[in-house]
Parts: sequence; C-alpha cells; structure tokens
Amino acid sequence: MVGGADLRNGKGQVSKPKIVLLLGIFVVAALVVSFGTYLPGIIMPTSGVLIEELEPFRMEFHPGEIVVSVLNTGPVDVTIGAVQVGGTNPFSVWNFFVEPTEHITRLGTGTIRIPFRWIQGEPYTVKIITSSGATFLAEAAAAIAIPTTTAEILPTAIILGTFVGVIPIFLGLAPFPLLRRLPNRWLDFLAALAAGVLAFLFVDTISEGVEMASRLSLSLGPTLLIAGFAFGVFSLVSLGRVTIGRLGKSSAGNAQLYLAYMIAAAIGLHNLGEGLAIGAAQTGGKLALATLLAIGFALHNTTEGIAIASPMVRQRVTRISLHLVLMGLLAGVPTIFGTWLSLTFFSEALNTVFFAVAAGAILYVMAEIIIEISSKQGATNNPWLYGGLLVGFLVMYSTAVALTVLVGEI
Amino acid sequence: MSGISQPRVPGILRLNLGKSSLVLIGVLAAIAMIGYTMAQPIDTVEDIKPVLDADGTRTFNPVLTRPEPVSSGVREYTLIAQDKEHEVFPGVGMPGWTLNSTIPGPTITAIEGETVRIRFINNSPRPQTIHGHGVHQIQYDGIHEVVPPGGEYLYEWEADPVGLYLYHSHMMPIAKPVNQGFFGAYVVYPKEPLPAAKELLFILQFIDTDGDGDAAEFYAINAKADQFLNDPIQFGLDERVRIYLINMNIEFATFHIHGNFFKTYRSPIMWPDTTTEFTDVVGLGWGQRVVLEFSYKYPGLWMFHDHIAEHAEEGLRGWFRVMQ
Repeated sequence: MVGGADLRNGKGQVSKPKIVLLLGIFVVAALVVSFGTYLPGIIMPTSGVLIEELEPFRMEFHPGEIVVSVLNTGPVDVTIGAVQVGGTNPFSVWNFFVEPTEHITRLGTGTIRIPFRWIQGEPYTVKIITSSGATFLAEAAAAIAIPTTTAEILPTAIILGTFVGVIPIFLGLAPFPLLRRLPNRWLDFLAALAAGVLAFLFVDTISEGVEMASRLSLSLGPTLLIAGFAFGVFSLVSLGRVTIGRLGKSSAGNAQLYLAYMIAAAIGLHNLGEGLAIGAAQTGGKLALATLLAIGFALHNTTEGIAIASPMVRQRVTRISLHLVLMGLLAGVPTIFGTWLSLTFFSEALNTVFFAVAAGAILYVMAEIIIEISSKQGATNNPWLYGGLLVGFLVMYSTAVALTVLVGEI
Repeated sequence: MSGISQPRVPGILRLNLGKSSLVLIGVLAAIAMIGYTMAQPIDTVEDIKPVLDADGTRTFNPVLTRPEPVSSGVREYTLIAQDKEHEVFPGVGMPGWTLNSTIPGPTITAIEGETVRIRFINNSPRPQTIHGHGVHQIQYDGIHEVVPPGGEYLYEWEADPVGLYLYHSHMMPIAKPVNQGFFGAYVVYPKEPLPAAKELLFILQFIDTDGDGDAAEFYAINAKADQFLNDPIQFGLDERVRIYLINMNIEFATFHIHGNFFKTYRSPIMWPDTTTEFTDVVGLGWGQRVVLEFSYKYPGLWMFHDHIAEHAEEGLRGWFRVMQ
C-alpha cells in the first residue's frame, strides 16, 4: 500500500485529476502559510499589554507559600514585574521570586513563589503584572494544601477515577444479558442510542476543546486544536485497520466486536477529558465541585456503558465476558489517568490537545455507527432509530444540565 | 440486524486509505506549516518593549522650593508634551504621556500677584490641552482651544490667591490622560515667606497599567508606587515638615501618618489663619488638595499611607526616617 504506486493509472502515467488535486492542496497550503506569515503584521497591536500572554496553569498552597506556575503561550517573551495577592480582600503588592528567572521566553515556563501566610479554605487570587503592565490572574476558590508527590496523588486519582469512570461503565455493561432478549426494534433503538450518546459527547468535548484553545494565544490554540482533532480521527482509522486485520474480516460478529471496542476507545478518550476536569477542580481548590463532578459524571457514564454494549447484543461473540471487561476498562480507566495527569501537571495547552483528540475520535466512531445503522434495510423510515438518536442525546444532555444546575458554573 | 449473511466491515474502513494517504499527508503538512509559521517570533515587537527607568534619571523630585520673586512680575515656563515609557513600579512600565519627560509634569511655582506664562508645545501624537485650576481668562482655561499634535499655545494665569492648585489635560475621557500621567501641581506662594520647613509635594494617583478600565493595578505617590517604601524620606527631630497633598485620583483618597498629628490647610490657603483640623487622617475627594504641617517628637522609621487599605497595599505608602 505505497501511496506513490496509486498515483499512476494502469498505463503507468500519473492521472490528471490527482495532479489537480495535489496542486489544489499546495495552493491552499501556500495561501494559508502566507496568511499566517503576514496576518500578525497586519493586526499588530501597538502595546505589549495587548500581545503578551501568560497562562497560570497551576496554583499550589505550600506551608507559608503560594506557588503559581506559568506558561508563556503568546508570541513574545514576557518579563514578570510585580505580583499581587488578593481574595476575600483587595489586592496587595507582595514579594515574590521566580524560578528560573522573571524573564519567560516563548513557550517557556516559570514558577512564581510568593511567601504568604495563607488561611486554609479561603479563596485567593494572584495577579501577575508584566513589565509592560499586562495582568494575568491565577485563582483558587479555596486554599487547600494539595497532594504534591506521586505517592499522595496516585491514591486520590485511583479512588476518584474508579468511582467516576470505571464503576459506572460496568454498571451500564451489567444488563448486557437482559439486552439480548429484547425485540429487534429495541435493538435498533439501542444502536441509535449509542450514536446519540456519542453525538452529545462530541458536542461536549469539542466545545470544551474550543474553550480551552481560546484561553491560549491566537497562534497556539487553533493549531493544537486542529492537529489534535486530525490525530483523533486518523489514529482510530489506523488502529481500526490494524485491529480488523488481526480479527479477520470473516465474521459479522468480529466486525461488531470491533465497533464496540471503537466505541469504548472513543468514550475512554472522552473520559480522559473528564478526569482532567476533575483533577483541575481539585487543583483549583474546588473540592465540593470535584465531588459533585464525580457524582454527576457517574450517572452520565452509566449511559456510556449501555452505548458500548449495544453493537454486540445480537452477535455470537466468543468469550464475551472477557471482552466486556476489557471494554469497560478501556472506557473507564482513562478517567484515572486524566485525574492523575491533571493533578500532576495542569495545562490548558495540554488539555486542548486531549479534548481535540477525543473529539476527533468520537466523531469517527459516531460516523461509523451511523454508517452501520443506515446500511440496514428500512433505516430511513424506522422511528426507533430516530427515537434512539434523540433519547441518547437528550439523556446525556439532561444529566449534564442537572449537573450544571447542581454545582453552578462548571 | 436480521438477514445479514455476508461479513460486514464497518464503512469507513472500506475507504482505500492508500489512495487518500497523499491527501492526508498534504493536509497534515499544511497544518504543520501553519503551526510552524504562526509560531515564528514577531520581530517588530522589540519596538514596543518598555524601556524602563532603571537609573532613576527621570524620577520626579518631591522636594518643593519657594521661588525668588521675578522683577518683571512675569514668570515663564515651557511645557513639552511627549510620549515616554514610564516605570510605575520597579519592573513594571506603562506608556507615559509626560510633560518635560517626567510624571507628574513640572511643578509650576509663583509668588502671589505674579503672572504665569506657559508656553505649551504638543509633541505628543494626539491633541492636548492644559487646564489649570485658578483664576484666568476664558482663552486660558484649556477647554475651547485644543492644541493639535505639533502645535503650540500660550497660557497666562494670574498667581492669585495663595494656594495649592493642579493642572491636567482636559481631553475627554479625562481619566485616560490622568492615568497616563498628564498632570502636575501649581503652587502660589504668599509674598511673605512661610516659616522655614522641609516642603514636599505628594500627588496621589491611581494607575491602571493593563488598560482594562476596571481596577487600578497600583496607587502611587508622584506616579511611582512604593517609591518611598524603598527610599524613605529623611528629616530631623522637631524639624517642620510641610506636605502639599493633591488627590489626582478619580476616586476618594485619604492620607495618614503614624505616631503624630498634623495641621491641615485647605486650599486656597490664606496663611496662617485657615487651619481647619488637627488630626492624623485627612480625606480628599477628586481633585481636592490640602497642605499638612507637622514635626516629629520621636525618632524612628515612621509609616505614612492612604488609610484605604487597598490603596496603601498597592503602592500608596512609604516611610519617614526621623533622624535623632
């Protein structure tokens, strides 16, 4: 499967449409590159205040010290000039020092250490003022001495991730034997439900990714988002090709098994994002929020378990229990990893990539299920399919809304 | 699901990826190129980097001196408006709208009864005016005659009555030129010299460096936050100190000294019979002024600050070092 060989037609000559296509791609690429080159010059602001970007990606409370880690996500170097601490009271100019230096190069990081006798449970905001007067805020809803070593972080991540990700997925997978006895129209409904669930997860994930990207600079954010999204789509395509090769293309059961694994993998990537959100809430001192997120996600994720099981309901799959366990782990365990990652190194740049990859993967699997459903006879006028799509989306959406109502702003 | 006898391979996998792999490579290459191009540093940014006032040469001198009377009765000043980077706090700059390269602008001093003639040269890139408080004819009020960039104007003020005044740009929105430093003090001294004292000028000011128009980043005395915290003001035990205090804030401000009381003279000041208060905290509304007089009974490093905690802790504070 060498691409070059496909370029030639039967007579060994490069076909015209393909040349046109390639030329088109290069013209578009050239336009995009020149746009990217000149655009910053055209919209160049006249003040450093408008162009500097500093992302405070982590705020920790150590005994007698507040530590804020920053990443320079903008197009220019940034020098930190002053630091103020506020919270329940207005801001106060405070002493600070930056490791390794106040001068943060592009995409460089710095750790700001502020000697401050913080009070457990109180909110704090650190205002970072650069040499040109631009300001960036790092906020914590409540000062909590957070776990900092792996030995402290890992148990937290495992407990939270297991309750939020792993257990609910298995709860959703548990009624699998019962599902097998359902009449055909209900199975159509379940298959469509899976697509509806994924449709919601896609909207949820991509909007999260876009929001994350918007907090980065105009150059970095969209680049990470597009690259991550493309990677998400095509990595599952490649994975699919390898898997299908191994499974053999001989049985419909295997194809359905493959589809179920794809759904589990896509949901797993999405749950990595959920883990990141839980970890971020914990890092930001929003303990109540982290707990509520955990409860809300658990309800949400039970529906995901049903979605995973749906393709295999009518198939004779050998060692089905083993497969179900593996799928449950594939979909659930990333929550633990996401929580751990976020507690260890919270970064909006990293999160943008994760959410973009997850969105790409979900889009791919959703397309896969819809192609599968629509290839059935009478699919176009089967109300159970449309009903399933709608219910899948609405159940996910309403649990998400209920969660938002419960915890306020997420 | 019924009736499927043939093996089914999910739809997307039936695409021939080999054929489309070049398309894919092209798209990914384009994405990589965009990322690479946009990640290039923008070199012209060097031009907008602040040049910080590290050597202190442009620092405003807070010490006031009574001028000698001029025989002609006409005192002349030249004020040149020019944009210069200004350091508002060690390590933090902002675009300064300076007069004669300093913020605040030069202090206009005169003896009661004189005429003050100010030649204003606008070397800034925007129209400006100088609006002085006090008595003058309408064409010198800095409202009707706007001086364009590169233009000049001659103002004439009568130095009467005795008092502490201020001047500032009256270009709207006024908070902007005030924030960027386009203001100064105007002092009319009585003909009869006041009792000898160490005279200091403190102009209280908010500074919004990020231009969000929301909260100020700093509060400052003479446009440099915390400057007298890092460099205390020294004087002797029992030495008479006179502080000319102006609230250039667009909000209420106060002033407080530790371990002592002061006499307040509200402006215009009819020395010495206008003493209104003997206290240790004085409040000033927008544009209000007061002259404080005191001397210290005990030596030490004494604090002074705006009693509004936020103002103090964002730079409106300092030390008096009272020497034995």
